[in-house]
Amino acid sequence: MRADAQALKGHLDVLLLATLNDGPQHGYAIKEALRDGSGGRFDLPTGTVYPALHRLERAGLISGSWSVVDGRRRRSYQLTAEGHKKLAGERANWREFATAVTTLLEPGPWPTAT
Amino acid sequence: MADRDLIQGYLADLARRLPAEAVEELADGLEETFQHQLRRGNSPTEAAQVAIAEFGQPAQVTAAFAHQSSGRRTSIALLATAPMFAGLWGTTLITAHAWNWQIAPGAAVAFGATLLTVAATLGIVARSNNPKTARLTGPASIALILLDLGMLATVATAAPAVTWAMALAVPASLLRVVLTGRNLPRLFAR
Repeated sequence: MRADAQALKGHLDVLLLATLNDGPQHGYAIKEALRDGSGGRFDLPTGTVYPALHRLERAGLISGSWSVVDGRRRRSYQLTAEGHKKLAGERANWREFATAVTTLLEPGPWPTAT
Repeated sequence: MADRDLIQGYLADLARRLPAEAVEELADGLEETFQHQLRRGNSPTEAAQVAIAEFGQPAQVTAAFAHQSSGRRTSIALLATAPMFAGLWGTTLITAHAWNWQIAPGAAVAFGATLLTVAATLGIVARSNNPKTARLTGPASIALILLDLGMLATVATAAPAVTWAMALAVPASLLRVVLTGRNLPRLFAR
């Protein structure tokens, strides 16, 4: 895991859900979407993405299905209704959190002397 | 075909540690990575080496599977709540003078030995980086349910009166039986 990927801790689930927002994807495509969507900052070892997907599937947030591509069996994942709901909730929470942090971190105007 | 040998060797290493279906899924992802590297202009051998490096060391991948497994997470949860149960039942047995209860010594020894075995098993699973070890949580959970039921049956038949500690320990164990039982299908799934 790259140094920046440490920042993923606690956020990996929702980011994986977000990569599936536009439709079904297989594991490698999900990993690539995570890397490309973060400008290369979140570049996980590909093999470690699969167990996280399996856990999300067990939790009922995504569902997996097998297909055959180029003679190989491929497992693709898509969001379940519960997964869509979870993603929407996490998005709203994140926006509130980010707004609060930005407000605190951005330099504000100096208080005027009276 | 050094490239294919590298990939097959890597997958064979994973196959020794992971279920066949997981390896099949990983094999597809590895092939995608390999093809991606070929399209970027790498030689087949370089493409295989880069693809394997991108995937992660087999120990790293299998540890990730172990850490995300239901078995390991369940083991950690059961171990985390164990001190509370030990406190509740320990207090119950002391306040109810359990040494005066009519219990066969062999049954008490068997109970204690099973409890220690379950605790040791959960501890091993919680510390293990091997996904196959996580499967032990299923049998350990069943044993724990039987231990809880055994303790409840013993209290119901041998305890002369209800104590305040017992009034807390009994519903706590009943709750653990229900929750652990509901979790069993996950533990015995893939």
